[in-house]
Amino acid sequence: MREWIGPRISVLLASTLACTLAAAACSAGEKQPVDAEAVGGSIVIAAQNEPRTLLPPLITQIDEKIIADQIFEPLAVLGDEGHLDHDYRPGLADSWSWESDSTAIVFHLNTKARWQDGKPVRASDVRFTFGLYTDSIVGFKDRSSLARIDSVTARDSVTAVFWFKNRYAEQFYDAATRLLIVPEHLLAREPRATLLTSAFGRKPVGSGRFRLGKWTPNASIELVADTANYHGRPNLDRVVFAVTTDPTALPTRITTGEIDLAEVSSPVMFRTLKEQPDLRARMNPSYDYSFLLFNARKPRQRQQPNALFADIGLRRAVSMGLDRAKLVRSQFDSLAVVSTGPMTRAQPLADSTIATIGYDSAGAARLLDSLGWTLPAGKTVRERRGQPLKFAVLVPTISSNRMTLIVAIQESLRKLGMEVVVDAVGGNTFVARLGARDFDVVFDGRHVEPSVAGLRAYWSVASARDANGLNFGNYENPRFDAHLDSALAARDLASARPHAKQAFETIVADVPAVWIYETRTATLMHKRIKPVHIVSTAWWAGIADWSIPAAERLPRDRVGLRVASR
Amino acid sequence: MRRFLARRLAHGAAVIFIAASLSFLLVHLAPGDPFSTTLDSVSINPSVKAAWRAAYGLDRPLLEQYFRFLGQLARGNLGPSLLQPGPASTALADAVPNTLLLMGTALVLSFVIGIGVGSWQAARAGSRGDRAAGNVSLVVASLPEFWLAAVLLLVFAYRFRVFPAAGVVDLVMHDSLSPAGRLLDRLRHLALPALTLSLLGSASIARYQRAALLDVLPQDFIRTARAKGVTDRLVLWRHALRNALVPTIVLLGLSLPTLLGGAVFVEQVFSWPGLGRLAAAAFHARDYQVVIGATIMGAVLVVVGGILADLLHAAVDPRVRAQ
Amino acid sequence: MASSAPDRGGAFDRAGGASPWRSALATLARDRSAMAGLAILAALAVIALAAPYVAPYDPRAQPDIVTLKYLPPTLAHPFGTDQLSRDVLSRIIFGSRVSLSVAFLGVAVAVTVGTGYGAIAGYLGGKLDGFMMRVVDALLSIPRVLLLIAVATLWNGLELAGLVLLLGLTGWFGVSRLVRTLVLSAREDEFVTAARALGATHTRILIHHILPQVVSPVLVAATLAIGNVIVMEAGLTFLGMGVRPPNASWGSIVYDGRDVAAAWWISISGGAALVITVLAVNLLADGLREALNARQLPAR
Repeated sequence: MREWIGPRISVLLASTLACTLAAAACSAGEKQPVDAEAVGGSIVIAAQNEPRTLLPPLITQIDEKIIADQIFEPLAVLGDEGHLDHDYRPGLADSWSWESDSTAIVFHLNTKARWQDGKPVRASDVRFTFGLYTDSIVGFKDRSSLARIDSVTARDSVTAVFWFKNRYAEQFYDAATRLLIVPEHLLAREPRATLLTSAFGRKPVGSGRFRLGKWTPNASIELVADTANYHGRPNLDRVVFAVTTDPTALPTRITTGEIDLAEVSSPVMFRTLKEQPDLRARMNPSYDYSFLLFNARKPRQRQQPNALFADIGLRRAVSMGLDRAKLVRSQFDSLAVVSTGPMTRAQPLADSTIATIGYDSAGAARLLDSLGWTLPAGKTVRERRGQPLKFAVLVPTISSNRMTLIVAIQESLRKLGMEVVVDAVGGNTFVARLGARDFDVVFDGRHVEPSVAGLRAYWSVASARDANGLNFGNYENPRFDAHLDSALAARDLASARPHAKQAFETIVADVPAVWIYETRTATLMHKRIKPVHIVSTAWWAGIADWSIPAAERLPRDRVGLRVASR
Repeated sequence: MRRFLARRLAHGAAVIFIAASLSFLLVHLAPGDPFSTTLDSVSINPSVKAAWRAAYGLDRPLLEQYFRFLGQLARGNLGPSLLQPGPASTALADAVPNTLLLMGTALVLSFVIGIGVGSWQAARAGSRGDRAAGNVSLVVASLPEFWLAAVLLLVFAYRFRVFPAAGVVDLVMHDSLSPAGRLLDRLRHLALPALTLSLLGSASIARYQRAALLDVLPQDFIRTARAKGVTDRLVLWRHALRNALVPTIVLLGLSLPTLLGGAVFVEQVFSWPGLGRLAAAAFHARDYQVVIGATIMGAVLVVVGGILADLLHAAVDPRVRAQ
Repeated sequence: MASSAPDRGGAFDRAGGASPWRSALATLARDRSAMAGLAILAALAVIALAAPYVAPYDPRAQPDIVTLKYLPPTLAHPFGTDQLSRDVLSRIIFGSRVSLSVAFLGVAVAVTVGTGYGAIAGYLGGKLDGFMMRVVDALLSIPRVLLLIAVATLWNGLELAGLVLLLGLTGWFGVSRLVRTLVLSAREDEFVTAARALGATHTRILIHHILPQVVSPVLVAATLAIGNVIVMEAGLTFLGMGVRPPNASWGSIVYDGRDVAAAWWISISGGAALVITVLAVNLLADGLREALNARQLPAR
């Protein structure tokens, strides 16, 4: 029996993959040959939070992004290897070319492209989308990443041109992948200030291969295959996102088979679930890192330096006092590594060979003594001129990893004579206080992209001086800005690399933060699912091409499409 | 009877009014204005924030805000929710039916179990069985709701896959099942949360029922019935139960606030999309409007339930109807 | 001193010349389950007070967060270790301090406010009493957990003192109703009329004649409330809004152990501590109710 199934599956898999790859390689917009054997199946993916809206420029949570990426499309999709400067698959655009000495990219839209309501996709939609994303009233979270695109014009109904202010290595990445194209005819009349509450966010219409089926608040969001899609229908019939906010429920639901796929960041959950024979684990490259950010200024204002942390010596002492390798290994096992700077190893320009501050608690104690922070007799907290070495660390309750780690960090620093108070606050309050720079130290986490362009928004002098800027720790070093600008202005990644290295060296030497961990997530999926196109930045990018072999289907896979469209 | 109902309705309205006023008071006593944390996140444009504040009249004198608040409440408008963008009332309207289903089932279950066990105990008062059941009742009544829920989830959904772990219906299959299949699916998902919620209540009801029956059994009319030759079983069930049922039904109305409180934890553990889970999520998101709305909604549920319980009480006990 | 109290039976029956309290204590002493409950609570109090001497390890010590974490129960660690290699038993022992003191203080606040409110309402009577009790009825209709969640949301960053106040200020409604009923009936007593005829002020009457009769039922209610509040605090912490690090109550321990099906000993031990305490409280309260013959109280 087993021998009979084995070869059949691999033939199935090979043919599916071959078809997919062939279709991707030739950039003609023909429909993909649908392998009847591969069509069908329903998968259930765990969503950690209830999505608020599915309108692309308003998306802030990862669950919203995963869903929106199925309903909407960008102009081109990053290839599986994640090479920013050359490897892309067609999305809404099936071909592109460079003009005007590489300061303009011309995208030729697939002439068959249609919205899910039947209307054709036009270049004016692309222009409209760009306007929406860059509008300050709409408030797209990463607006600064689009700053180097000057404008978008529609040369004709199927040709959109992106104009840039100057040449740089990631032009194509910015233009092609950051915007999920939205329909102008459905959104043009919506008032921009209240887009968050608009009906479109709960009933989105895109050009992707999945449509929104049924959204049951706080329970599930069902996406169904768009059978009339111009790319061809996806293999799967439906993808259901099950909202699972309680951590106890998640491993139970995975084990009982209610949920097929979940992104797991807790090492214990990972360890227990990895043992399950029905599940396959896949490690995702890391694009998230967490760090203890010092505020160089007094909280909430910018004029005066921070009473404690304007002193680089103290910052260095805190860094030396933490055995980060041990902290990371204890909390994460293999799911994280020690962070070496404001980057992750998956970024092409990252450099983990840069010298960092090592663990040296004796050295930290000596440094503190030399700075004047001494331990009075009989006391446990160091003092300097009568002032105790006590400070609060702002931590968001939403991150259980950071909530646990801060206790370990608190204990390590207590041994060094520092009194750390944990200021744990909920999501919105945390964001508010972060934006207001109302903290001395904050345990923040960041998601990065393959491009290092994001560094400017978070660490530049201009951002520090802007009250709405994202440089929450008020880090200012014009030399860092200069190196970063050189890196970003370089024509390709190879020539950007030495400048990037100098930028990283500068910032790491300034100790604006203690870089704690780079976490990766593991995706656990049921073994019957055959995934393809696992893009390094987004394991979910190719769900439309995933399939479930007929022989391995469960009862839920055999529920056809007709019923689901109710 | 009509006067009785009118009085109860007026009483209920007063209760809801007080609950709403208390909520208003709390929101305005609290530091920051009601929108300060929902709107003060980094990415929202200042002009948008100003527009929302003006739309909700936050710059008006307190008394005017109070009346505006009451007026909007009467129309069912609780303000915007940022947790699920849209009116807070939509989020609540989606959640309430699920909580009603859960609480209703748990209420019925706890009474069935409680009355059953209590009667069983009274029938053999003083025996080993009675004492054993009494001890079990006591232990069950002492268990923390959330802990019991977590344990039952681990045992019945994780270890022994008897019931599903979460949700109201099967996420994929439900729509394609036959009507009978759909009903069964709903029952399977309802079973564990309702059972958990009912256990705590059933323990105290059992104790109450047992005590009430033991009070009634020696009474004269029971002895008369026995003397008339009625068999023990019949005596117990018809006469005694009818009389002992009355104080137990009074307990029904009184147990509603506790039941709703327990529902908060049960919903959290079983991912049941009801009022309690919504309130807990709104807490984490600092969504004031939804939290306040949930509190007022909770009071409304208790009031309505209390009125229904009083009607039931009047139906069963003729002495009440005479008032 | 209440000397010529009318015959109410039970502990206050003066037949035999024994003082009412002594015969109550005697009845209580004969009740074995109540005594067991009392013994458990006394032991818990001792453990909480003597925590540094009783606990085998420092509850905050993290000996080796890599190799010694999540150890199952052994002789060295009877309840195992948690995710930061802290000894769970020591955490439970120190946690009793937080759980018990929050509960005790919270109930103290509730009883004080409730008794005051109820006494005033019952003594003054009439329309004012009616209005005050209407307000209490309304407040009783709001599910306590939702009210707690609402306040916790509005007052961000609630510290322990705030938590105690919150639990107390949401728990006095039942006590006030009880006290009001008792005061209302005590007001009509002969000796109260006599005292007033003799020219005693209202305050003196309230404090010297009426309140002593309120003590025993309130005592029973307070005992029960302690169990309720312990569980309520644990539940709030479980939802993420109660006690926060570095403070740790039993609820925090259950919360820490919640997403780990593999390290069951953490949430089981936290839960067991809660169950045993609440059980002891319930047994004691039952016994007290019998001994003081305060039958007019609602059963648990």
